[in-house]
Amino acid sequence: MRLNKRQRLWLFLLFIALFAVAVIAVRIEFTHPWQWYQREFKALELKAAEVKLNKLQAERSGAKDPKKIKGIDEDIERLKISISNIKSSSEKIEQIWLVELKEADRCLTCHQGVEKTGFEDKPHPFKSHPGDYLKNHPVNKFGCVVCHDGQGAALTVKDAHGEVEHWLRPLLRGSLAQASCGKCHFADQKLPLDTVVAGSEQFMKGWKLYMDNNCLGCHKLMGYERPKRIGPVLTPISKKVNHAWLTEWIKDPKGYLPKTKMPNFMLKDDEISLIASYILSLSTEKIAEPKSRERLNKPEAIKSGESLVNKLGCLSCHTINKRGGTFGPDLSGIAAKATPEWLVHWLKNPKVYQSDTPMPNLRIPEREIQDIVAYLNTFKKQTGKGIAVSTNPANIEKGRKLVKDKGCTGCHEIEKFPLGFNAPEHDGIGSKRTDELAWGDVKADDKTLQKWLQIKVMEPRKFATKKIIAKMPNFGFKEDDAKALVTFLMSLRKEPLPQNYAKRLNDATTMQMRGRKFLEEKNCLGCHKINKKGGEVGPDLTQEGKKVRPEWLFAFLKSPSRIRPMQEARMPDFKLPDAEINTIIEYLSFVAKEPYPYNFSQKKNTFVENIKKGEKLYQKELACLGCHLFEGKGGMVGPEHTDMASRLKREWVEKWLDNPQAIQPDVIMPRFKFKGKDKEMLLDYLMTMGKERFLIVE
Amino acid sequence: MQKDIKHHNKLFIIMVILIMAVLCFAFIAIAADAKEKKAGSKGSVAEGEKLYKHYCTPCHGEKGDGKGFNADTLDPKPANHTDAVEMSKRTDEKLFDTIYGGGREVAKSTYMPPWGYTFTETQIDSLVLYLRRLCNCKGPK
Repeated sequence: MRLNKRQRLWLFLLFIALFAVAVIAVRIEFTHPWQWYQREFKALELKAAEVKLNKLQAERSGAKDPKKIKGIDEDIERLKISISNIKSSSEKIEQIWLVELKEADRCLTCHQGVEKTGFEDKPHPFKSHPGDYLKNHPVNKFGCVVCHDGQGAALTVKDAHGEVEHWLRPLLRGSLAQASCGKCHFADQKLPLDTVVAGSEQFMKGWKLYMDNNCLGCHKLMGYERPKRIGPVLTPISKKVNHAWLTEWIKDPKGYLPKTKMPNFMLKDDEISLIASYILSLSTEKIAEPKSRERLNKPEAIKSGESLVNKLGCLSCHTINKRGGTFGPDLSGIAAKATPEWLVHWLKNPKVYQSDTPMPNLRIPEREIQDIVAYLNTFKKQTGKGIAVSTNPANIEKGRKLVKDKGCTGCHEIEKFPLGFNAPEHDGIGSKRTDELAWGDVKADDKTLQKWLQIKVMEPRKFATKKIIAKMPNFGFKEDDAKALVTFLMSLRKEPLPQNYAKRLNDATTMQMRGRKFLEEKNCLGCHKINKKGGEVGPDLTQEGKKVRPEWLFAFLKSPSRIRPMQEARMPDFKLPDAEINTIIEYLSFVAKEPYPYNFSQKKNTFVENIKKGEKLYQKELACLGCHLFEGKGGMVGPEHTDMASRLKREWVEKWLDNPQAIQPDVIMPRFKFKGKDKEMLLDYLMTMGKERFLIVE
Repeated sequence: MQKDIKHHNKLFIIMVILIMAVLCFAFIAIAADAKEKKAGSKGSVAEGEKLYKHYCTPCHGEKGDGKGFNADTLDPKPANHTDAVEMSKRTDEKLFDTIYGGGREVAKSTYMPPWGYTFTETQIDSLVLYLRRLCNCKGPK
């Protein structure tokens, strides 16, 4: 068969078209998006190197010192070599193969600037890695995916970032990458909540919120102990509050106390009524404090109460009228909640009402308590009328069941309900697949674990349907807090990393951490300052370890007594067990850089005449008793000297006498200049003032 | 010959510098002496009030009437700084010395401690100024 001219033309065109398709196919097969990124980066790098080269050359022409010229020449030579290296480099896939982690990362193929400096202000993917994370996490040991997730082996933008269907670990963008810190660095429950880990701020904030809001009260989590209940005991609550307050409170806790940790359970009115009926039925005894109403509504009592509240240090923990601490509850509406009888009873000794309350016994005389209560009774915050409660046993039983079901016992001691876990465990929650999550009726284009958790934390009932029961209450987290919490939750992963990757950044068992945790739990810094942080109600404790004898400190903490007559605030009696007192002594020694375990003080040899001369100085020449009290005689300006020899270390007293203002700039004690051996002799005499004398008299 | 002249010139310049330095020191010493004699001429009432309220009120009282909370236990009693008759008998120098060296310095109660190593001279001058404000009086000339 012979083709005519026309057919031949068609055949020719078809051949051309086929050839073109083949060429295009081959070209597509052998060109990749990453090549474009590599070319772009190469241009960027060359440009940067040339700028540097020009600078060096300009520097060289201006330089005169032959040594310096030589140094610049060497730099130029090195730079030229690296420029030619860049120019001759070929495009290739950069892969890090991490055998131990079973991971092949190809991220550096496009993210070429990650390990290099000088590209901090360039856009992704050319940007240098921010922060100094790579210093401790070199890319050749950790790769990228270990922290950032995504699909390390993929070579297109979308696939590599893992933001595609069926890939379970999409890229952790921004600070969310800190969720991976938890893979190797365990945030110990026993660490103080203000522990700082540089570069892991978001993760630590989430951890703190998790601990602070007592998530462990309902959710089980491996490696963490079930903490003490953070809410007050509810069994005797009918002694303290009435039904109107209680029902309004359950309905909307933040309506009464905007900063309370108690979440909103979003209960219906009939449920609230049943729960309150049950709780109020648990105790029928009344508090017998017949004198508690004697001083109410008396202007002089209210005035004296106000001044006492300011002086005794109540505001170190509590807020009243927007002033004060947040360790304890805000008292600005206390009269709407607690009866005067209960308040008097409580202030006499809080441990009688609740044995494990963090509130210490402030050793306040009854008359002062009455005045304080008269003052507190003026804070009558407007609350609603409440919901009616019932005394019907059937309703009480229904309420009991509800209390168990809603998980009230996660935070409150009620009857003898055991400590249980009322909610799903959190182990491995960060490894959940999106299809394992109950989305309910929520429609979203990007159903990711991160998104699910964010919704759950902020609107815990959002996924509830007829079939899906959601019990979690609303904690009222703001968006940035919720994001930090999600970061922590995402860190709770199932797949463990090899043991040698685990590294403890903060050891909770050290003297320092144990002490800080303890001080935090008791809110010592509410009243005392240590290293410029803390309150001003009590003395600064930064130097305490240098100043007082540990034996004395132990006895004082066991049973505090007055030292400064001028100060009205009393050191509360925390009823601390011996081990906890030792934790404090240990920590204060650490802060003051004193040895621990401590050495018992050495006795010093002296002569009777020295003591006699010291006494003369003390009594006559310096007239110390003008300001200091000794065995009932003397002034009230400075600390009491009775038993001062048992209390103070001689070396510290000497330093103090040399220049009191150098230790405490605003102290009223004047500085003295001593002649000859006067100071030694005065010190000898001072060391006789107490049960322990620390002297050997020859 | 020229070298010698130069040498003489150098010596002369050094001598002049030395003499000027000595004069300077002498002047400073004289000035300091004058300052001590004219106590109360420097400092400010405001600074004096601040110091007084912090350091002196425990004994001399908020109002300066000698009735501070610590006065009860003291015998002799702290001075009443609002007593114009008594205060106008004392010169500024005497007030300065009392604060500086304490009661011992002026043969009074040793319960008044010396503040000379705690305060600067200007601070003591300020206190004297404030004392004059409290008594609303002047010292004898």
